[in-house]
Formats: sequence, C-alpha cells, structure tokens
Amino acid sequence: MADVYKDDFLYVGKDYKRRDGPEKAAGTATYAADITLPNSLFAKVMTCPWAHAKIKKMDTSKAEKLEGVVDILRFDDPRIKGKMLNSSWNHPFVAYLTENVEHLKEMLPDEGFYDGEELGVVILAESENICEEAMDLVEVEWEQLPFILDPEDALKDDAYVYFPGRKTMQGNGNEIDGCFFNMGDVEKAFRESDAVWTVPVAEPMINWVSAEMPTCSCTWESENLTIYAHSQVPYELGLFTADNLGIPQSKVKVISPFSGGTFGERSFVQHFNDQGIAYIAAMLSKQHGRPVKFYINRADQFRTGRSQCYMHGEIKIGANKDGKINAVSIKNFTSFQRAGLWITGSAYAGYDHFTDNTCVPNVKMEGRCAVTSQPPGWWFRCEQNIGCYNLNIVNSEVAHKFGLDPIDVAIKNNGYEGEDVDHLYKIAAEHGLPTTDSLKACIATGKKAFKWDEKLHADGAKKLPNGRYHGIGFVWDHAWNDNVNTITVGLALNQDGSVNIIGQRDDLGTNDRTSYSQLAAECIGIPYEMVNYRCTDTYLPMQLKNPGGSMGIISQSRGIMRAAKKLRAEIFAKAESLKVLNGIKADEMDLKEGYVFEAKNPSNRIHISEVAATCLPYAAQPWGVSCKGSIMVYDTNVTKRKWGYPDGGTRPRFARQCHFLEIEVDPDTGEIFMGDLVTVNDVGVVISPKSCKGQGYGGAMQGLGRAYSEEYIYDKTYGVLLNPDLQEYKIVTMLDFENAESYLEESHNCGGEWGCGGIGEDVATLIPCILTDAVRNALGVSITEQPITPDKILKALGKVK
Amino acid sequence: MKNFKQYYPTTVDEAAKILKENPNDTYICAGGTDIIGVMKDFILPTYPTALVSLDRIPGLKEIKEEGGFLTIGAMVPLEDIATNDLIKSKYACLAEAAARTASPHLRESGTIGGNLCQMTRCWYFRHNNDQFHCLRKGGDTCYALTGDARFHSIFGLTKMCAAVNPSDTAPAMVVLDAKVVTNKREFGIEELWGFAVPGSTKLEHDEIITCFKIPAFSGKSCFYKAAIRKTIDFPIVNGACAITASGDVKICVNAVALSPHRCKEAEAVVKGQTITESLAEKAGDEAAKKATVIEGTGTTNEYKIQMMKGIIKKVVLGCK
Amino acid sequence: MTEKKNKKKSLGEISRREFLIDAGIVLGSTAAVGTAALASSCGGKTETVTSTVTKDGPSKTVTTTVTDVVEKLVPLSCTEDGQWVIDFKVNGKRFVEIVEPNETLHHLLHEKLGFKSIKTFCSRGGCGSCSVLIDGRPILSCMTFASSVHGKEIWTAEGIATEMPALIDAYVDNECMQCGYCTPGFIVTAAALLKRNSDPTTDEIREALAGNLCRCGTYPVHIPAVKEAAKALKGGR
Repeated sequence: MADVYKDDFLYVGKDYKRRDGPEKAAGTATYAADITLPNSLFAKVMTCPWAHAKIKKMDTSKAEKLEGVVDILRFDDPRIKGKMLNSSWNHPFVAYLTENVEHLKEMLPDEGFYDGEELGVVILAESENICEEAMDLVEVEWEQLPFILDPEDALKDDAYVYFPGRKTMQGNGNEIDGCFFNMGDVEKAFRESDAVWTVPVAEPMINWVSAEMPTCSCTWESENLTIYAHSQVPYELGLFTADNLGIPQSKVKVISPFSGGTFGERSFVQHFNDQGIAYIAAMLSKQHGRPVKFYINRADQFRTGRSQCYMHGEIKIGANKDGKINAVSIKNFTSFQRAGLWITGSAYAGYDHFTDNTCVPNVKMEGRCAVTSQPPGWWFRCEQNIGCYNLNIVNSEVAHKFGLDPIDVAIKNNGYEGEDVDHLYKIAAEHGLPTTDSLKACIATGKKAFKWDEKLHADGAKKLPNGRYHGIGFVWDHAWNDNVNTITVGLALNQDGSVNIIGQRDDLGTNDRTSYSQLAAECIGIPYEMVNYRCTDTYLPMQLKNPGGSMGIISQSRGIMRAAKKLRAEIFAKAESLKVLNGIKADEMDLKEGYVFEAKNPSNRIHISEVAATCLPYAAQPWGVSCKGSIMVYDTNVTKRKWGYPDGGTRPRFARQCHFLEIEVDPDTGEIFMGDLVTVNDVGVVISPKSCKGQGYGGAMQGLGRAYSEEYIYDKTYGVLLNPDLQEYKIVTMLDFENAESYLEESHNCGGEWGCGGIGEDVATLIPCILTDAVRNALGVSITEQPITPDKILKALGKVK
Repeated sequence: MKNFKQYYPTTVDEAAKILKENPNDTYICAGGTDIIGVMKDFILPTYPTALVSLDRIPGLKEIKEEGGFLTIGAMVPLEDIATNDLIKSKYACLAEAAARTASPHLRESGTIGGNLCQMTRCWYFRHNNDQFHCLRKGGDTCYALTGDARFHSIFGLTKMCAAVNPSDTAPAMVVLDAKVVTNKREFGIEELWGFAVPGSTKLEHDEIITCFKIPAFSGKSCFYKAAIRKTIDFPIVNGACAITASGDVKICVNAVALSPHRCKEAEAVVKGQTITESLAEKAGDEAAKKATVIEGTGTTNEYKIQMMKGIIKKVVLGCK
Repeated sequence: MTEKKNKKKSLGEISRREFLIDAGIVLGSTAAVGTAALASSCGGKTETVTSTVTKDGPSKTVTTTVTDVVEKLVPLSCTEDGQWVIDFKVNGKRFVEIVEPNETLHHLLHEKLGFKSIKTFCSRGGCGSCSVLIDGRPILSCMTFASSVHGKEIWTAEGIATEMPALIDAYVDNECMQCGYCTPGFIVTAAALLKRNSDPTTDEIREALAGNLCRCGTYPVHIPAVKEAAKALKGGR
C-alpha cells in the first residue's frame, strides 16, 4: 500500500497534529450558531404547511400583542413586498452553472409551492421561545392548491402546471430541463448482445443534515454591516446581501467561523435560508438598532431544502457473457423546485460516468426534469450521485447476470470515451503524465485489505450459522481529480520569517488549517511550523474557494504554489539587495527549511528571518511582502470541455477509486448488518494522510446512510413531509458499521500541484450502490431502488407480496 | 416552547393533589424525554399548562428484590435497568429491552415509567403544530389510513386509530408478568394500556405509577428488536418471550398495535413442546394469522407481519 | 437510585455532603427579578457567583455584589412569577440562577452562562451533541429542564478538557473531529464511559457512543481514541 508517500517532500504527506483539533474537542471552537450577540433580537420565518397553498387571510394581531414581540414583517408589508431573491444578480458564480437564470421568487411570498417553503411572515422578538409562541398565534386561512410529487406525473399531458407561461418551460409547462445524450448506436448494440435486460432504479430524496442549522447574526456599526453566518460561501453571501440591501459590497463583512458541517448545503446562496435570512436580519437590525439572529430549526431545515432530488427511472443494459458491456440506455426522471433562481443543475446527468470512465461504446440518456412540490435541491458533497449510481448498478447487474466477479467486470469495462484503458493512458502520456493503471492499483490494494478472494462466493450461496446471509459488494469510479475554481490567495511574510496564508475559506472540516500550511511550507521552503492559516472573514477579498469543497485542494495547491513562487522571488530579490550570501544574485539562490542559500553551495546560507527582518517597508504595506494571483486552475489542457451539463463532451480522468463492503442480511426480519468496509482512493498525492483517510471512511458513513436508512418520506395525500427530524430521518450511527478502513493510492495523476487531487466528495457519492451489490451477493436478488430498508429486503425475498 | 407552570412535589400525594387540582392539560413529567419534544413541536391541540415533575420524590428510583418480587421504581432510568446485574442475570429480556431502547443518553434520563407511558410516535400525531388533527387528538380521521403507514398497526384498528405503542420495555414487562403499582391500586401490566387521548394508558388523571413489581423469575427469557438503525431508533417491531421454570410461556410483541400485543396463539404452540426452529416458526405463523395490512398510499406495512413472525421465531429460540 | 462509584472526585460526582459544605456562595443582586427571599443564611467564606437576569430576552450578566454568603445549598424555590431559583455547579464552579419553567438546560448553559461546547444539532434528543455530565451521567441538555439541575454537579466539555487532557489529546491525535460540531458531545460521553469503565472494549465504546451522531462520519476513529485515552488515564495522566 502506497500509504504515506514521500522522501522528497519535507512536509507534504506527513501527519501533523491537527491544528483545529484541541479547540474543536474541548468545545471552545465557536460556530455561527453559538454566537448570540449582546442585546440581540431573534427572527423566525413562517413556512408553508401544505404541499401547495396560498394565504387567503392572515391575522397577526394576537402575535403583535404578545409581550416580547418587537416587529412583525408580513408579506404585504411595504418593507418586503415585491422584494425578490437574487434581485440584480449577475455574478459568474451562478452564470457558470447555467445560462438559464431567471429571477422570479419573492423573498417573502404569500404562496408556497412545497411543504416548508418560507413565506407569510417573519417574527422578530426578544427570544426564540417568544418567536415560536408568536408564530403559533398567527392565524392563517390557507387556500390549498393542486400539487404533484412525482416528476413523471408532472410530465403528463393533463398534469397541473405550476408556472404556466414561463419561457424556460418545455413540454406541458412543468418540464424545466433535460439531459439528452447519445453516443454510438444502442439499438444495434442491444441486438448484438448476449443478453439485454432492463432494471428499475430509484434514489430517494435526501438531506445534507449539516450538524449546525442555518443561522446568521447581523449587526451594524454605523454604515458597516457584519454578518456571522453558517455559510460555505461567505464571500458570495456578502455579495448577495450587499446587492439586496443596495450598499457597496465593501461595507459588508461576513464572518464564517467554524462551520458545523456544510456538505454543499451552506453554499446554497440562492436560497432563502442563506440569502433571505441574511437580508432580513440585516434590514431589521438596521431598523431596530440591535443585532438580529435569524435561525432555522431542524424541521424547517429539512422541509426547505434537500440535497438530492428524487430520481427514478430505468436502465436498459446490453452485455456479453464475458462481462463486456455493449450498450446502456438510461431513462431518469428527476424532480425540481426553484430556490429563487431556476438553476437546473438538479437534472445532473446520469450518463457521463460511462463516457468518462468506461469503454462502453454505446450510451444513451434521456433525463427529464420536472417541477414538483418537493423542496429545491442543491449539491450534497457532490452532485454526481445519479451518475455514480447508474454506472455501478450496471456493473453490478452485469456481474450477477453472468455469475462474474464485479471486479472483473470493472476492469473489463474501464476506459474512456468508449475505448479501452490504453486509449486513456495514451492521452496521459501525450501530456507527460504518469500512465499507471489506477483502477488496477486500487483494486490490488483493496482486495488484499478486504480479503476479497477469500470472501467471494456465488450469489445467495453463503448462509451463516446465525441464520443470516453473507454478501460482499464492490463499487468503482473515477477519482474526483479535476476542478475549475478561480482562487485568489496571498502569502504574507512576517518579519520573523513566518508566513500567513491569506485567503478566506469556510472550514469544511477537512483539516485545511493544517494541510494548507503543509502545502505552503512545501511550496515556499520554510518549516511547517512557520506557516499559519486562519482566515475566517471576507474583509480581505481573497478567497480560497469552497464550492468544489474537498476537491479544493486542486485549486488551492496550484494557487499557493503560484503565490509561493512570487514570494520566493521577492525574498531572493531582497536578499540580493542586502548583499548577503557573499553577494550572489537572486537567480542563484534557493530556499529550503527556512534557509536562503546558494543553490550550488548550500552551506552558504542565512535564515529567512534575517531577510524578512529588513522587510519593514513591505510589511507596512497592506499585504506585507505579498503575492497574489487569480487563476483558472484547471489548466492542464487535457480537457475538451468546460463545466456544465449537458453539452456532450467528456473529460479524461486518470485516477480511480474503488470500495468494498461485507454485510449480513437477516432473512426473517430483513435487517442488514454491516461488516468490513474498505475504501481505496487514488488521490494523486497525499497531503495529510490521517485527514485524507478521514474523508474516506467519513464519506463511506454518509454514503451508507443514503443506501440503507435515509430518505424523505412524504404523505402522498397531502404532500407533507412526515419525517423532518433526526429520529425519523435516520443518518447512520456508531452501531451501523462494523469495521471501516481507508487506503490511499498515489498515482500523481490528478489535476492539482504535483498531481494531487480530491477525496472528500467522492466516497460519499459513490458508496450507496455498494449496498445493492452486496445485497445481491447475499440474497441473489436485485434491489436497485434505495434505500434498502427491511420492507424491500423482505419483498425481494418473496416473504411479502 | 411556551411557558407553563412547573411543579416539583416531594411526595406522591402532593403530586396527586396538584394533578387533581389542575384537571386540564397538566402532565406528569418523569425523565422529560417525551414531553419536552411534544412541547417543543407544539404537537397537542391545546398546549400543556402545567407539568408535575416526579424527579424530587424520594423512593421512586430504587431497584430491589423482596417478598418474592423484583420491584423497580417508576423513576428508575432505563440505563440502570440495562446495566443492573440482577436484572441482567434473572430478567434478561428486560435488561436487553432497556439496553436497546433509544440511545445511551436517552436511557440515562428516560425512566421505565415514562417508557411504558409514552405517547405514540405516529408521524401524523407527532407532526408539528397539530397539523394533522387526528382521531387521537379528538379529530375524526386517522391520516395513516390514507397516507404512509409503513410503521403502523397490523393488529386491529382499535377505534380506527392506526398508531402503535412504541415502547421497547413493554413486551418484556408483559412476558415477565409485571404488576403496576400506583398511588391508587395495583394491577397487571396488560391493563395499563388502552386508547386514550392523547396518551396511551388507562391511568386516571391524578394516578401516578410508583413502581412495578415483577414476580421472581427463574426461567428463560429473550427480547429482540428490529429497527431501521441499530440505535437511536424506535422499533419497527419488537418482541419478548419468557418461559418459566414450570413451563408457562408468554410471548408479546410491540409496535404492532395500539397496545403491546400478547400472542396467545403463539404461546399455545410453544407450551409444553421442545423448542425447535420449526416450532418457533410455527409460533410466528400462528401469531400472524389475525394480522391485517394497511395499504395506504405510501409504503404498506405488510412487511411488518413477516418481521413479527421473524421476531417471534427469534425470541422463542432464544428461550431454548 | 443506583449510584455509580467513581474514583476521581473532580468530575461530576462530588458527594452531596461535600457539595453542601463546599465553599460558601454569594448571591447575586438579582432583586430585579425578585430573589431577595433567597438570602436566607449568612456567614462563612465568600466566593464569586455568576448570576444572570433570566427573563426572556437579552441575557444580562448581573455584577455580583458580595453581600450574603450561604454555606448551605439554597433550597429550590419558586418566585412569584413561577420561575425557579436553582443552585448548581458547572465544571466545579457554583452558580445560583433564576430560570423559567420552559427553559432548557441547553439554553441556560449555552446562552446565559456561555458554555459554547454544548451544541444544537437536532434539539430533540436524537443526536448527543448537547450532552453534559450531570452527576456523572451523560445527559442531553436539550431534553432537560434547567430547573431540574438544582443541587446537581454538571460538567461540560470545556471542564472535561481541563480535567482529562489525555482524552482531548487522544481525540486530536486520532482526528476524531472533522467539522468538529459534534465532537464535544462525544468528549462528554466518552468521559462518562471512562469514569465508569477504565478499560473499555471496542464493543463497550461503540455502545457508549451510540447516541452521538456525527454527520462527517468520524465514527471509526473514536474507538482507538477512547482506548488510547483509557490507557493514558490509567498511566496517571
């Protein structure tokens, strides 16, 4: 196992004591939810109690009389009436997601299109309890309107149309987006295949369940606004809020202290839960001259947004007995709801994991996305859930159909753009990149750690003495090895030679305070202990990017390297001007382990502090000795396309990942008991091994929840969410796994500096399908609709009709 | 949470007196883990106006063995039952049931009395702000019947309410033949439950359980719980079986009906027989004969019938 | 009630008698909310005690005036407004507070007294993130009325970090935190376990921590961390 890499790196690849560890463990790390500013007021918003309803009449008089209620902001109040979310938004952050931007949602409307939509009234009071009591006193007469929960139903000709006449709509008017793709000739390939069959697929709606709930506190000092927010994109939040308030962005500072889980949820800045609460809190704070804390409780956090749309559909597969997949034809229906903008990313393509990672030559996709009364969706750790799921359902189906080892099926079909793996690594070679077969390397490591060959048996063939069936499962995909973020990072040299990384970034829990310091130390050539990173506010508009979260290492490593080169040049120039080191020129110098030295004669050296100490004129400048560079990071020139779906392009990924799971299934009760779990990720280059592995098993825990226990459950008669709490929406616990281990491979073949890549997003995204594969091995039956709960197991076993 | 009047009586009589003087919307608070959630979510049609805490009444937190009975105070935390050596060795199904209830933290606060008297977890009943004003709250509809009843009743829609009793300790207490001792009377535990609004017991308003008495038990007993998760979860179905040294068999399952469901048909199958896998399966099959399905419009609860059969099989085999 | 024995006194389980004769306390000048009736007995040593105005609204710390000193536990008493006057300890420091009936322990500790380690994750008793030790038991402060802790000894993660640094070290070394929001809840629960069981097995650790949710999925590394902490604590740390 290439576990901890490196002889030639001094700091990268080593485990350092996690810098935010002690304060997080002791609970002294402060999160936005922990912050209640002195003299603060509290704000709470009403939510739509029905799937689709309009306020006919609202009486707030009783609430107004309640002691402790300070203000009541009704939807018909001139202060908010007509105010739109994203009112004059034109930032490229959204533009790169879609060209289909249309502004149409009021910040505080009188009509809700899904259970939980924020509307009606905001209560401002002296305490959270008073807010809740006042909200209970608001009397509303609702007009309940038609609703649809299933996207397929919403596409029917006679379906109720939510937003008639909108220009972005297709078909009957509910169809907001689609993903249509065709490569090769699937029909011909089906005719030529040994077997052709169709499987139903379904993925439930799920939620990020970030531990900290959406919240923000706003306070003004004269004309300057400070927002303490649980936000993954504080810079964008400041931009939106300034825009909504009509003040310069320079007057808004967003402080995102530690974040209690984000997973993409807190980058959903188009949503009321980010932009809306910040604007209303800021407005009310200004008016009342007191800080305002706006909070969303857990039930509303569930009801107002979700991280994966409900998807169902089917996949038709054509394959040969040797495991070669000839064709796949995918039909997916996904649900959509607007969050303030029509961002149609929720149709997230379901085909491209075939085109990007396999040699399957014939691929067809028909993905249709329709408006339903389910809350708006946004990325959860990654938006690729459906694509990963489709790829691995097919891999699993083919293996079990022909009695093959799913690992062999994976190796047989690994490739790129319909051609085999040689084609892929030929492209790598053309760009001077390594040509290691990453999938084979990951599989070798994983098989050994998991003892795959010892555990492998025919489907349904192993009943244990405890009466349960034993099964093992496998999934694979590419590594998350590319990224397209623009970042701006500064490296400021202090007079003692230590360096501050300047670049706001929300804490995602990925140990960036440690790993970015390692990166910077490596790039600059000073000891790790001399670098620090702790930017939490947006006053310095330098941004290490968060969307793309844990893949951020690709952007950040390149940005930090670029800045480090400039800093080193500054230091060498200064050293030259000081005439130290026997008066050598800047281009004869090197910097390593904190010493500036003559490259050809390392013993001729001085400590960096001796140079830095003379930098007072620079240090007096805003940046000190600083470097900054704004770069598009994905610049290896091997991509054929830009981000965005669907435009028919593909992108080669040279690194892979694969995972292994062992389970036991109780045929009497339908319960699943987890056994060994092994994750293997080719991350290119490991920066911080423990943190990297943490993303591996951590992602696996999240992924298992998606596969096994998590789902939104709606009442279909009323369209109301039945389980918006952590008792009934079940994320996995300490007892829902048995033994999890993470392994890392280093192919140096991802998009970051030295070929480093991400790991945070991919395991959680890829893992869910592994349970389907393992259940099939245990029981010999196919359950392709997740989550795999006892009812589905018992049904598949024929014990329930 | 709205505010309310709070009492900390120091005797049972004082508590009963407060309850009697406050006939409306006054609730007993034991560990608080149920009622606090009910109040935070504004679940009830009328908000509780007062809580009477039993926390400061001495003598309700004892476990002792005397006079041929194991006596467990109503306020004993579930964790103490789960970890009590006496209970673990002689009343295994009760210790196991307590250990599988909720989560470790909830077991530290949650009491045996509270666990047996808790309100149902029906997600229509529990929906915030009394949005589904159901039968149990004085309405005229059981929303589960037209909705998603995947966790609802498979035994008789008592008064047409499809909710189930979610207690994990209840089936163990039933098979161990526990007696309930209140400030007013003593009765068999199966008499405790019934359709009541909004709770689930037949206790009078000013009736307070002080302890449970379990006859000394020297046979074998077993408890099993199936849930979506392995912890922090209510049962989909749970069950217990106890076979006394003299051969008496009691089997009870829960989360299948409004009250814990005694499986007398299954008991008859097992009684006097040598326990084998096929006998255990037959017991489950017998118990399932009267079970009914709610189709609803979501996932049906039909799988719960098979699950119950599986659990009866397991708990019977566990008494082998 | 079956009291659990503990060897180390500092965490959570100082005996009732010790509590009563512990250093005398000072009652804050909280007359604004009607607590004059409390100053029932005087004399003895002095100690600073924090009090906060407890009506709903901005919490204002009242500057304590060293006037009355009582050695005994202030009796649980109810004000005319139905509030409770409670006397309790947090991390070894004594507090006398006036609380509303509908006030949770979480609100009292986190919002009024500033113990920020106590996190709101589910706020319905389903996640363990708001755990505190009350008389040695890991209890969910979001599902506990503030009024119920009268006479009790509470420890939060902040206090445990001071008393059991080996536990914090083991958690940091194993990177048991990612976003870190749930971590203090794990620390509290692990401390409760280690106080009861100085050498827990893997299964015992898993069972003990089974009520703590971690969305980042750090579960696997808590097991070695608790074992390492147990070892270090036995070694006298």
